[in-house]
Amino acid sequence: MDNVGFLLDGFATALTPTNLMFAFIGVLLGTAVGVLPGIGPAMTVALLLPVTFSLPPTSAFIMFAGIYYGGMYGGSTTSILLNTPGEAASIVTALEGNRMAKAGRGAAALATAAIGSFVAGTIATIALSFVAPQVVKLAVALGPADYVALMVLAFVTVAAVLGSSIVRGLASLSVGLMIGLIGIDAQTGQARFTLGIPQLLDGVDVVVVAVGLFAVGEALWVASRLRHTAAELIPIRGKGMTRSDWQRSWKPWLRGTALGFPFGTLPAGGAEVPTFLSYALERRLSKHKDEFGKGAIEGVAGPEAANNAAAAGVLVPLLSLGLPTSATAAILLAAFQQYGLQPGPQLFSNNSALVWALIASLYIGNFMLLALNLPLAGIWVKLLRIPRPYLYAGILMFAALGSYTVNLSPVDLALLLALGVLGYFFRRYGWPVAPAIVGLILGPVAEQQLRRALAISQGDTSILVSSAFSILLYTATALVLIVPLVYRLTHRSRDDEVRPAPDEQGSSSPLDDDNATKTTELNEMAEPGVQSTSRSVPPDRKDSE
Amino acid sequence: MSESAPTTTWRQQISWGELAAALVLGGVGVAMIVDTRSIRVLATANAVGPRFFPYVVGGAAAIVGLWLAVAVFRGDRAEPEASEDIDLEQKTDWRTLAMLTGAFVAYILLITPLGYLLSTMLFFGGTAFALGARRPRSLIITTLVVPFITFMVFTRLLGIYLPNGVLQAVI
Repeated sequence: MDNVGFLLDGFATALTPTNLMFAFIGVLLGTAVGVLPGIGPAMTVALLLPVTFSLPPTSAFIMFAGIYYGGMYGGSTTSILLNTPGEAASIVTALEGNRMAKAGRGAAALATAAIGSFVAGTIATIALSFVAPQVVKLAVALGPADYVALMVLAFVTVAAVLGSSIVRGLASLSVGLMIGLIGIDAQTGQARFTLGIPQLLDGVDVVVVAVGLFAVGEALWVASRLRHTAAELIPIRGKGMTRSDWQRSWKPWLRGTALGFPFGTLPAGGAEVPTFLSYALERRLSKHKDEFGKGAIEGVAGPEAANNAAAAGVLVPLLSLGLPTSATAAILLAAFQQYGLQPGPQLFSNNSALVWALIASLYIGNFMLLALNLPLAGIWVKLLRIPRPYLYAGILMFAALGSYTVNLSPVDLALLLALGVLGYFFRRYGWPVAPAIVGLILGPVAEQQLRRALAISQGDTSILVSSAFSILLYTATALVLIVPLVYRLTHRSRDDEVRPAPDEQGSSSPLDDDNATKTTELNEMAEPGVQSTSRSVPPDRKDSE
Repeated sequence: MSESAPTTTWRQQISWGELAAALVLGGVGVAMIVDTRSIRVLATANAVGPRFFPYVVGGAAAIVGLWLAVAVFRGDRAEPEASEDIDLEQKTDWRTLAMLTGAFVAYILLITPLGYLLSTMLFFGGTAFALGARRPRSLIITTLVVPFITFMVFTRLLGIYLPNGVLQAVI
């Protein structure tokens, strides 16, 4: 009952006119930026971080709640109308949603995505308000060694799940960890890896790294291979959802929610896995199997619900354990740190008013998004028509502004450019960006816990595996690393092929086949037959480098 | 079906760029381990000082770099990241990249002397031009209007201070 009281207090805070306005601005900005092509939710949050610099913490986080959910909504609009998902979690939405749009049922696809997101977001937020305090109760019993194990698991799953190959994910992770080490060691005051540059003593600001790797890296990458014929934008057609659309949508919404929320709470890379699972499930259960691949509404409703439910689920480990399991969550954690707050069990006891105001504004944000998105979809679409040179010039301008406002120092801009170049090579060589962000932000926290654990045991490393909980987590970590490797080895020996084996039934042509490697791992987890993004890229494209 | 003709060239090509990236990562890891030895450890520090975690991270980077290098050398190739506006069939457009980087470097050098607003207009116009905006009228208008609105929103509406250099007295 306690928590219901806290939640009501949270609503009281969030429903004041000022905070409602901040929630509204957050939702509006989040959707608008999320709709822009090339910008996923993580980049949306990173780009909009500086907007909140001058706000008091509660208002800032209420705005962030709106930005977070708004970014998620915006992404689905882009994938349905442009067939070009900005992030892995929207790949599946693009699959059926874009076919629906092409078949003149774009309005219905957008509606089922918006309403499904609302249903899933609301149910998952309710679940969040009840699950998070329970996790906090358990978390109080965890020692530093258990936290180390949790973070190792998070590092490895993020590296393994977010991206096409584990080793590249780990490479990205270690880059993030290295950048995170730069600066003065908080415990002993010793400078580490500052290369003699005084501005590096405070460390590299998280905003600079996130915006550099995501936004500047993306802009450089796009600039190097700008598509000169604009991607096809499909106008919204159709009348919205018919009676049969509703009948075919409501169950996938609920099933997607049921899949998305638990997966979001696990350190399993956020929303990617549940969206694929949801698609596979809907495809199997549907009475209209023949429509899959041609625009089946279940294939939009389920994954979109899963995506949004997972977005709420991700907040459970973030708020209660301080454990970000996706890039977006890592940037939210950085936002907390900007205000000197460290998410975790103490956050709920020391700053309960702020936490519950944040959770309350997630409910409010959801309502606002539903109200905004159904009528305003047409306006969001106009944002997709911004000429690309101005779009990316604007993204660069905002990225630079965000980094500059941190210290008003040109040194940060130089760092931003250097990190942008790094981000360019990440994209070119297929290293996922998200593990680097998680490593950067979680690395220092992990070091602190590790040293705390070893200080308690006076240097005896066996403390790290002294509890059943930590052994369980290390076992899970080992499985995450080993299972895909074994899978690949067994497949390699069979077909003598170097790259991971493509799925067996899904691909019908070499084009799709080549494309499918990106998501092979996920496909394998879901079921054979889930194809990846439908943009066709000939296999010989790598010669172009 | 998957091992048909188009994929036979896969193994013969080693991506040298990727190999270099992997080796750089491994090299930075090794350099980190070496550099860690120069971090001073105070006598009062308890069992685990400021060196421990850098050794772990440096070691991990070295191992992962080597692992990736071996994988690439054996023919493993990455998927370059796909995106809305990316045409993966194109060759790298070095000219655009050089112009963008040049605009960025100029921005870094000019932001303090010129102030935020003027330098940002140059930066915005420069990057938009580099990316292919060529119609003079729209280029000039957006270059003047977008940075101006951004500046006003951040300084006046959000109350964030942005030094304005030569224009400090004017706006």
